[in-house]
Amino acid sequence: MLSIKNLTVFYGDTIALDDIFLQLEAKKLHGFIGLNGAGKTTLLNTLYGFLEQESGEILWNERELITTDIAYLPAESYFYQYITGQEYLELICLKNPDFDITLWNEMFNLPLDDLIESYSSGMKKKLAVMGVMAVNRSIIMLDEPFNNLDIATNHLLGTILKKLVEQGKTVLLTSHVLESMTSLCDHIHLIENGKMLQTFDKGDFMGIESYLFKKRDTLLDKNLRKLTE
Amino acid sequence: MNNLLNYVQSIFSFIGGNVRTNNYDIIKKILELRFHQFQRFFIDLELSRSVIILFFVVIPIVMYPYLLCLLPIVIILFLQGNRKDIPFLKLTGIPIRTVFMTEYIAICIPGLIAGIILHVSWIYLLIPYAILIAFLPVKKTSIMRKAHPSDRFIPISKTVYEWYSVIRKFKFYIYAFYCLLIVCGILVPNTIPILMVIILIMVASFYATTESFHILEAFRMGSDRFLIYKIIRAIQLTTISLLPFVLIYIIWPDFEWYVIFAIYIAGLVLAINAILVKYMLYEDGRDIKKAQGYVIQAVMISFVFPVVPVLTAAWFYWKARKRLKKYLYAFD
Repeated sequence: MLSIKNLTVFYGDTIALDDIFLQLEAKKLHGFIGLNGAGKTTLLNTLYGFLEQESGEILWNERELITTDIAYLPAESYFYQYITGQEYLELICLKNPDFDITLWNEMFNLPLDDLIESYSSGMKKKLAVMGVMAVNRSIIMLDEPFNNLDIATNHLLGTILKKLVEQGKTVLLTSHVLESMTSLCDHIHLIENGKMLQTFDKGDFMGIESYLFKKRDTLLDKNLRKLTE
Repeated sequence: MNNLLNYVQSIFSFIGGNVRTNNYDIIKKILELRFHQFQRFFIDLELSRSVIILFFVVIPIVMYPYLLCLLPIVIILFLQGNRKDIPFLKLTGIPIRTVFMTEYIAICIPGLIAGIILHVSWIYLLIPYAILIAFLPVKKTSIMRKAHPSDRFIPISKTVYEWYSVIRKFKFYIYAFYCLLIVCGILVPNTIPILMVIILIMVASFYATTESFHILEAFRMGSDRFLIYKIIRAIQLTTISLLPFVLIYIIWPDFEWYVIFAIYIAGLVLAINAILVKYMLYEDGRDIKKAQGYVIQAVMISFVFPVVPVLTAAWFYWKARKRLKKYLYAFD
């Protein structure tokens, strides 16, 4: 169980996460949704330790969560200049030589002998995903993993994530693609303005869209009516 | 004078194709542009950079005017290995090799004048050298770049990715540049200290790019162990790259031994400072080149007071350790 208790994070004077309380079941796929700036990435960065919390507690199986529990894929990936995809993965696997780069690449189909600078943004994302898989940790956190991926790789990533959960991993992911989230996740958590608004279980996913857009649709209708009058 | 202009025009039209005046005018414009860039470079120089240029270029040239003859050899090679203006030149439609050649010959002129005054017998070879370099292959800018087969022979472990990546980036040119410095050392042994300083500044510049936090974590070391590992590898590789110069010094000792030793130690301190500044400023995905550049320049200036860079290294170590703890605390 990943327990987040009363987590508060500030960016200067602005509150980014406001007293978040969440109990995330292990060996499940948890999705985080929310509009831009809602606090999804901040939450993941705080869990990983990139951001310092003002207050609160983060526990993984009753002890403090540390980076070696997590394989994290940030929304933007950075590598190193003038190295190939193969060299990058070999560096990542320095202490994890069991990761079979060839086998994984049969699925991702990357030109691993090419320099990373020459990769498209989708290819870079695939490489970063492979890097995260190579790390092999109990929690996998992915921030916007479906951005820039083609349809086939989107499907592949979804299948891989489901398999990882079956193997006992806990997956946390954020995305703006609601369809991907509802088809993959066991639970979806809605964040707004740094606050955890609601958690939806698999059976309640149909209600997410109306919950998200009801207020906005009313405003949109009102404004459009004014504009067209 | 008109005859001379016509002659130059005819040379460019011969190399560049049929549109005589057009090519000549464009090359003239590009040379003017380069001159303005050069002017702006000096006008915009900050105090720190001015002091560095004074210390590492002007003073050595005043002390050893012979260096002025050698300087174009190095500059031309560096430029050819690092051309970023090819797409722009291709837009102009003139043959890029003609532009390279003209620029390189222009760069040789001060060296030629110095060589003639100093009666340097080989100085006329500068012109064929400039032409030859202008026709060497330039770095490819194609979309898909394969790792070159020759990369397999990079004599450095991939775990020292800073060195590996720079060698791959400059390929042949970095080897040629290094060999040229050795040849300079053999031809003029009393330039050895300057050549060593050039190598050491190069080494410090290797540490100007940050890696992803995944690479940092891959070593599974705490911040102290990681920093010490990095420093030891840098000391090993810097020492190896300076060995040929030390050997030349042993064969032709033109200085007291402590001059070479002092430069070696100063160089190591500089490399250590560069590594520590990199990790002091480290943040995943952050471009630290500019900030690091300023700090390293300040460190180089502080070499006037030899204790200062040692103190800065201690201070940077403390800061770098603190910064890395954010990423590597789980391995401490």
